[in-house]
Amino acid sequence: MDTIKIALTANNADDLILRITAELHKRGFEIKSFMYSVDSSDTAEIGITAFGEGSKKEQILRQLYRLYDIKKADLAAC
Amino acid sequence: MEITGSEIIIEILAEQGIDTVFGYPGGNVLSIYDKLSQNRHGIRHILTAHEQGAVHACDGYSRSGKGIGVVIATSGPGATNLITGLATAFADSVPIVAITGSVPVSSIGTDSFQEIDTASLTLAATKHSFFIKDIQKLAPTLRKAFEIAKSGRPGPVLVDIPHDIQKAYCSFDTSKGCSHKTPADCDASQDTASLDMAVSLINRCHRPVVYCGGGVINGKCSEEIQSLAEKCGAYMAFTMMGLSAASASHPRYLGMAGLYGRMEAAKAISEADLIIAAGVRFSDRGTGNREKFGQNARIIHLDIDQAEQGKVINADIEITGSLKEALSYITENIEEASHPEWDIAVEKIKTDYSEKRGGKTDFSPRNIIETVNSMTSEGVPVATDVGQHQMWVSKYYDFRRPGTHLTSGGFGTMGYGMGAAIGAALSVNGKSVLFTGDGSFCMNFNEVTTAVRYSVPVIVIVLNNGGLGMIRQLQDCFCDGRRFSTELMRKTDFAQFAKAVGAEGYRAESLEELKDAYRNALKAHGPVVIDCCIKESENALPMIPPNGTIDEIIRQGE
Repeated sequence: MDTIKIALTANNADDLILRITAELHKRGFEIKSFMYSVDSSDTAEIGITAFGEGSKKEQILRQLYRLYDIKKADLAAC
Repeated sequence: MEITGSEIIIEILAEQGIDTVFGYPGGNVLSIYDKLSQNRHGIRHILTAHEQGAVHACDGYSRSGKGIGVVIATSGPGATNLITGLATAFADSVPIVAITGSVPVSSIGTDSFQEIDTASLTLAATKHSFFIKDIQKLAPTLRKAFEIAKSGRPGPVLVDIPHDIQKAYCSFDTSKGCSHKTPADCDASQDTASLDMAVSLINRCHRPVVYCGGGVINGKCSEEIQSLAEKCGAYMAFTMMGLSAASASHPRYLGMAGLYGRMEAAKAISEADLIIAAGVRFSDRGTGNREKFGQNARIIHLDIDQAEQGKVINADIEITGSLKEALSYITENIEEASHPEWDIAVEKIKTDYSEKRGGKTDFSPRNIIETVNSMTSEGVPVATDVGQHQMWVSKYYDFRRPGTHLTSGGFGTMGYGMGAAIGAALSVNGKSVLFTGDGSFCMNFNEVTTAVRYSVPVIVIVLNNGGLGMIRQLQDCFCDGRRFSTELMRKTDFAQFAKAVGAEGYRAESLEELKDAYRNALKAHGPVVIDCCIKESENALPMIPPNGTIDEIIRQGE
């Protein structure tokens, strides 16, 4: 198991946190920390530290990016 | 002019070209049903016996060519009864918009009657879900729901609408289309570097196989996939979802690969030096041991969903976007090729691996399916439930038109078929056929009453082996024959059941009896159930064990 850091940019939708955490859970990742901030244009910046299989990190980014409100999904430096 | 939320819902349905909705009324959709009853846009409502039947019917309606299905259910149990059907549609990429009622906004969080957080419950079973708390957002959200359901990789979208929002007034502008920018279908033709690499790989291969998934049917590119196979001298293997993507009469057709598929298709994949996988997600049922899938081959993976790339199989070339454009580009740019040595090898594979057939007059699943096949027009939708009969249909029914095979391939939902067959028949305004097992049929055979009510001409073929055949087979193979809870020991007479609810019912114990019953069924104007009593010893064999390879085939008698 590895620690990965994910940076997301998204629309600040009502249930966005629920969707992101559900997706990580579904793909076998355990959340260690979760930061969420919203700017004046209602865009959310999200930073997640998660524990999971490092070999699946590209895949989890793709799955998160597939969520409707996610505009950008990147790995951040650990 | 101001209209109510329920009227807005009806207006949006009409705007989206919806002429039929499936559903079941309840307290928190009272207002929607009241407006539906006024029939302002001539939208037909099909009342099913259960919400699960409604969502499966909606799924079948959508898969059979109507583009997008709509289902309505009330809050609480109405909504939870939809979940299996939504998950079924999600797994198989079927566009559906589900509208559920919810308790009034003021009651949310009070654990009031029939209250549940539907949007959260359906997170894992839908492409997206919405909960409306503001009447102003109702129209744009519904438009967005339709757009999301059908764009890119299709899927079900749920919109949960509190009862007071349905009754609230709001101005409505019919001229406003979808104002929210939705992700457009990715244009695969932009990725010329990957497409050119694919062309180069195809030009250099000697043993190509095209592996077609449901994405080929969703992408409406059956012609393109066949043209590609013909031009590069490839054989065509299919996932269960992709099965009707090319006609079974095509000379390069190998049929369904995978654990319960045709072994010649699985063997050809294992011998190929190039696999062109189009619209497939490399399900474990299709690949068997993923480490060894196509181990002698380079793989080109084309898919509209970027998240499918690298999820299961790391392809040599990944192409994301519209299959139609990508396949056209590739076919246009590859050299015409033939591979005589591969043709000889595939002929030998067919000889060595094709299933040996039993007696032609036996009342076997194969002969039953082939008999029905021979008496059925090629455009008739054929639905299945889940289990051994599903595998037999995949192997023995010759599908000739894209989208005529309706099955729960991804989620494996027993009880899917009856609703789906009703939806399919309504979609094509003609007959549909359902192959089911006695286990699956009993899960949702209440929907025969729906087919009776609306005179839907569904012909139900029950392959009745007195048990849960697939699990019984697995217990025989992998639990040292310890059968448990797979012998149904029921005394259900399906022909009498059909008659009791107003349908026609027949029992067949020979091919001649089946033919007679089927001739009557073809003449009927409503549903017909034909109970075919088959031997318990009939199994979905040969098979490859889960996570196995073509070298580990289990055959009849082993």
